[in-house]
Amino acid sequence: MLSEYLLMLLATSASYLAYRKWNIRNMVPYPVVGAAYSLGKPIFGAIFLLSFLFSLAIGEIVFRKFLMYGMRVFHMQVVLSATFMLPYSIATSDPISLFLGMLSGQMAYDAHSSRDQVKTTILFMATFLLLYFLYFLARMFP
Amino acid sequence: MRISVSGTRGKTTTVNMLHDVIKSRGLKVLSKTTGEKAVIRDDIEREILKRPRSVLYENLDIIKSNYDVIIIENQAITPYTMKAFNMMVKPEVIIITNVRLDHTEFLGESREEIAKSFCSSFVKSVKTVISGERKPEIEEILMKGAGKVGADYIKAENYEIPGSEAVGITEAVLYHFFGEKMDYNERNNLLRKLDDIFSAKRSGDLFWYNGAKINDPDSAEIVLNYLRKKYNMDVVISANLRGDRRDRTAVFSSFFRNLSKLDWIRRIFVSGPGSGSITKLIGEKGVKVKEDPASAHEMINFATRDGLMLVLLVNRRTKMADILIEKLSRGWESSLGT
Repeated sequence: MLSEYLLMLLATSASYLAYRKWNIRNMVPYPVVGAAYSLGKPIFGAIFLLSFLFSLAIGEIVFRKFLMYGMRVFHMQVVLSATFMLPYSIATSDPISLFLGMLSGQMAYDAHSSRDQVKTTILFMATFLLLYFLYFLARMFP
Repeated sequence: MRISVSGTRGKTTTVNMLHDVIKSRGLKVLSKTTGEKAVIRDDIEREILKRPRSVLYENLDIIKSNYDVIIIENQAITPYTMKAFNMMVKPEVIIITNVRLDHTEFLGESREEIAKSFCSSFVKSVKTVISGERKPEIEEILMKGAGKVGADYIKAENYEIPGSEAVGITEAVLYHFFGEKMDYNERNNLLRKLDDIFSAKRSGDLFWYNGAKINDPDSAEIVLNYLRKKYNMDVVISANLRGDRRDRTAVFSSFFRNLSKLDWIRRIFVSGPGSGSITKLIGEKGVKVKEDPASAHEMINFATRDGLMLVLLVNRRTKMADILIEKLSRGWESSLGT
């Protein structure tokens, strides 16, 4: 548990540093949670990221084409992400993965509603991958 | 032509001024303002009583109307909803009245960040951005933002009266889009109207100014300096805090601390959530008061007794602002000597 706690502290400190230094305000715990749960379940991790990108793309399309915005987009993205995760959850009999799938929808909404969608998306993806890598390393040296 | 009016302060004033001036040139104008009550104007003025849950959608009906010029206040307060607004309205002209520290939790914690947030709402339809902002660093950001969507940038004049960027912006719109210059009398009339807005009221022996809608320190400083210059009176402030507007409480706290160092600021009465800590931060001139009629009475008596001007600041929708405005508007009779 110590390695998990240290990683959490590291992620939070990096997030605060990024805010102070570059005014990055979109750091949220969802990529961290997603990355931690992905360890030992790489397929979950891949689906988590794909459902994030899929929900984000759909959110952007309905915003630009149909001028839907705000809570309508948010709820749509959460449902889309969970649905995207559903086949995996059924196949692995893992209900937690389904609930965590909702978080990638929340991430998609945070990216969609941010000031710079591209930067925020890259930031979320980078955080996820970095944390996954660090967590992977931490597990190798218990 | 569609004009979207954004910015921190003076949006409604700018929309109304543009409406009157363009209409006086014989054009068919429709405008919409927002805020406590949303109003649509063409030849007549009507309040929007029934509003959709997501009020940005009400703008879709407005832009379908057949007018020469449509002027709409961008009521959004986050970069996201500001952009959504502009995607719906598709304005050719975006006006940024000024960039000041308000809605910091959504827009950014510095004026530079807030300017970037405004820029992120510029959409492809925009051909011109007109700004009344005077700070060069902020202007540079706005200019760059305009350039990103291929729009021209125009700097509006400012006439040293709070809110006078509205006049400069109106002149810029007239000149650049209708090829007309505003004559001396017309400009002076507009400036005089603004000066009236920034005039103290009198209630019994007390001079007071309702600046409760001045929600950012930069604007508060401009208005306080203007009132000081105009009336040459020392000032007592009623700072009315709101629990749901902690961003404002935070940005005003250091402002009040610095303000209290000025000789002509005699007291800062602080009411509402967070008043204890702000009072401590201000120091000896800070006084924590309850949001009740007795405290309002105390403030009014203090100002009246010492011949000070009472200025309300920070938030309008507070119990203390309601009590003070109600008492002062109906004509305050000082209880001194009673």
